[in-house]
Amino acid sequence: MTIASSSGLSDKDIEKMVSDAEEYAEADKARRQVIEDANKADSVCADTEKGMSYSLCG
Amino acid sequence: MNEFKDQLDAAEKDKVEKLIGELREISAKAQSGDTSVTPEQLKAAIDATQNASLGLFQKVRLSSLLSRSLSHLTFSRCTRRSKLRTTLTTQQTSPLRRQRKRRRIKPPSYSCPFYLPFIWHTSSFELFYHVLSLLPLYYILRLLHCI
Repeated sequence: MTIASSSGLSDKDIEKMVSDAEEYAEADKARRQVIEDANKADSVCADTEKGMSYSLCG
Repeated sequence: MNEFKDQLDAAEKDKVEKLIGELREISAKAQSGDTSVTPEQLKAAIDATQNASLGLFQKVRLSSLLSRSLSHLTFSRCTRRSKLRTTLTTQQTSPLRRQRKRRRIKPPSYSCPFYLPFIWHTSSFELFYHVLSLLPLYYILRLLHCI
């Protein structure tokens, strides 16, 4: 009697997932870059507003 | 001057606020998954906002530095001669200047030039003038064979 761990996925499914990841790697990278830039933009907006309230009203 | 500065600051502030609004809009689009927003577009918006805010901060900083420098110069020794002479009253000027005014010797004014050689001369120019004024008398006396 042999006990082996299994994820419930067949080899075919795993191969398809790997090929999909390779296919969409560039798109995911670009998406990641956009999200990082958006976060940076939010940070720039907050810093600029803080600086303006400090410089012009202080 | 202050009104102009306030208007300038207000215009710059409005410009920066507009750019911040645009950047927030683009950022919200990007975070919501809109594929029309590119990283280049985001970077360009970030650069524009940062440049505008930097210009505004530099102007505010420069104007505050200038006002501090001018307020310092108003009471410095350099402007005492030119500026404070016209703005301040005589009581506010330095005691040394008043002392100098009192010490100044007033040159004598005489109606008859023939008495001038017998009077103390305050300057070499006055002595020359006095000698010159006696020349006609000298020539008249010489013609009359008195000398």
